[in-house]
Amino acid sequence: MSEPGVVPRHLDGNAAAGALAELFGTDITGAMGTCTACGNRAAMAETHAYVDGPGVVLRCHACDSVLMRWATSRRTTWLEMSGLRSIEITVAP
Amino acid sequence: MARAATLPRLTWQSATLTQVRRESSTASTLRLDVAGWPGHRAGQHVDVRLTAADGYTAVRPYSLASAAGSGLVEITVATTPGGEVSTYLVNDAVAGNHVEVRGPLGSWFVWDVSDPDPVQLVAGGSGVVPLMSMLRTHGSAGHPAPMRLLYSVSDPEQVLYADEVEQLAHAATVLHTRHSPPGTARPPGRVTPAEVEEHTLPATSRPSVFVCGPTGFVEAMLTVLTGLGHDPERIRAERYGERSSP
Amino acid sequence: MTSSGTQPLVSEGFSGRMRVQDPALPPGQHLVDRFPVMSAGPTPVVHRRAWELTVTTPSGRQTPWDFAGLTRLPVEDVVADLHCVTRWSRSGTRWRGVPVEALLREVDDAGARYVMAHSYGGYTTNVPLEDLLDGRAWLVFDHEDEPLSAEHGGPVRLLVPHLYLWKSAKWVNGLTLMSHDAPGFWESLGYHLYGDPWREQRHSRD
Ligand SMILES: Cc1cc2nc3c(=O)[nH]c(=O)nc-3n(C[C@H](O)[C@H](O)[C@H](O)COP(=O)(O)OP(=O)(O)OC[C@H]3O[C@@H](n4cnc5c(N)ncnc54)[C@H](O)[C@@H]3O)c2cc1C
Ligand SMILES: [Zn+2]
Repeated sequence: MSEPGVVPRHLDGNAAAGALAELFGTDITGAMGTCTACGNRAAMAETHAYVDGPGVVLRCHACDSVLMRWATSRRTTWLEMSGLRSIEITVAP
Repeated sequence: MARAATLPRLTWQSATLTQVRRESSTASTLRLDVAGWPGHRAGQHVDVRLTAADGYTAVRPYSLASAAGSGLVEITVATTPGGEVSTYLVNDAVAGNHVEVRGPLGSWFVWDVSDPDPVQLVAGGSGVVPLMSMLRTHGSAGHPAPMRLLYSVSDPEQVLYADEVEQLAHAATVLHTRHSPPGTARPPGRVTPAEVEEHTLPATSRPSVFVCGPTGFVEAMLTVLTGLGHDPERIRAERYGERSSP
Repeated sequence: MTSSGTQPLVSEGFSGRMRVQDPALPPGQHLVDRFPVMSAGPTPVVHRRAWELTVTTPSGRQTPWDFAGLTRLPVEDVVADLHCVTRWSRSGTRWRGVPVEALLREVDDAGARYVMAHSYGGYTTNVPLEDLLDGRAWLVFDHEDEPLSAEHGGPVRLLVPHLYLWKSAKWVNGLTLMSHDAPGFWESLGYHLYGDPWREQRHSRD
């Protein structure tokens, strides 16, 4: 998928496990998310994570649409997840 | 304070370095003492937070190298030239120093002894760390299914856990990308699709596959492995990134 | 012992990357000597010959541009300091490009006060129209005498050096004039609508 000469720079949603746990209160990397744009269903760990910018962006690994993105300042977190149609979180027994 | 019954709360915890072991000229294993460590699964990582005297902080993820069930919290860090966290952990940190950790993290890139299937591990550089946790967990459990490692590394000096990898004998293949050890027939170079086929479990044995390393390496290996007929559903990958400028 | 959250634990001997506060820099910024690549998505690869940019007026009139058309406009050499909201700055970076006002000269911008810049890959950022005029913003295609690399926004990126760097949209392919302000990609996640580094306008709150 990547073009010659351009290094893919993304991580996996798994790499953002710690920040996601802070948002959701538990580890959600094994939770299944469904992409609003293409309907692909995958573990949050399998999303493509872009962490170098002013915030974190998780994209669908099938169609590259933004599933979730968030940014934090000293006291506030902004979270947008309209690209995620649903998320199923199962807590380990 | 009331405690949630089921959800483990993941917050920063203080940790003391109790041991720093050199693994290679550019990597060290750090053992951490974390009060109330709940144990971890092979493949999980922790976020490490360093705080400077002026309050500046830096956070990076590091895979756990120790076996699940060992009770040990060990990470292995290889220096990234000019990297602010890795150079501190490898070159400056000594036993008795403090860091903060958040974890264990990740419930996807994990291998449990309850998985009965054969396992193929594919590592690029320091991507071998979580895979070593799987090998150690597999070994100490005496797991009956085969677990194999294909390990791509720049040169013999950079091999992590060299003694343990050697003891795996035919269950491990180390291929060098920049310098080969003297006396080996293979010239240094990137792992080719034919070599992946030769040195890994065949797709027909339906192994679970774990791939870990720099993003470019992982992307290349995913293409090769699916080309060899491995079911993408059975491949789990962990990309360490490609932070240095190309 | 867990850290209480009020007093972070200091890691003995850790100082982090050099963070010298230079009075010549905006508050909270430090100089770096390399050019970090910041990305919110995959790097689009667009060749100069395939590049297109559309200028859209508030009434919906569209003017298409291609690379040859862009370079027929007066080309300028620009030396600029860059300030990224993630706190690094670079000084004296060299660019070649066309002032944005050269593209807007002929369009009917009646009623327009803001511009939304659009990029290949879907990125957007908003800038007041007047900040793109008077030689304060360019569409650039060379960096340090080389064609601008895809990593840094080539073939063409917006350069608005007096605002935080997220306003200088990489891979730009559209300038939409608007009568009202609207937030772009990062602005809708709490980043400042204007983003003046000298007034440290990082977030809309805090
Ligand atoms: C899930 C996960 C698990 C991981 N596990 C391990 C592991 O087990 N072992 C391991 O060794 N690594 C691991 N990594 C990689 C690790 O997290 C770090 O990315 C790595 O150690 C580099 O961090 P650093 O702070 O040293 O480098 P950084 O400071 O992040 O720098 C990386 C590179 O970019 C340059 N750079 C970046 N920003 C700037 C700037 N502002 N100014 C100047 N230069 C800059 C540096 O010079 C350097 O070349 C893992 C990554 C992930 C995602
Ligand atoms: Zn999708």
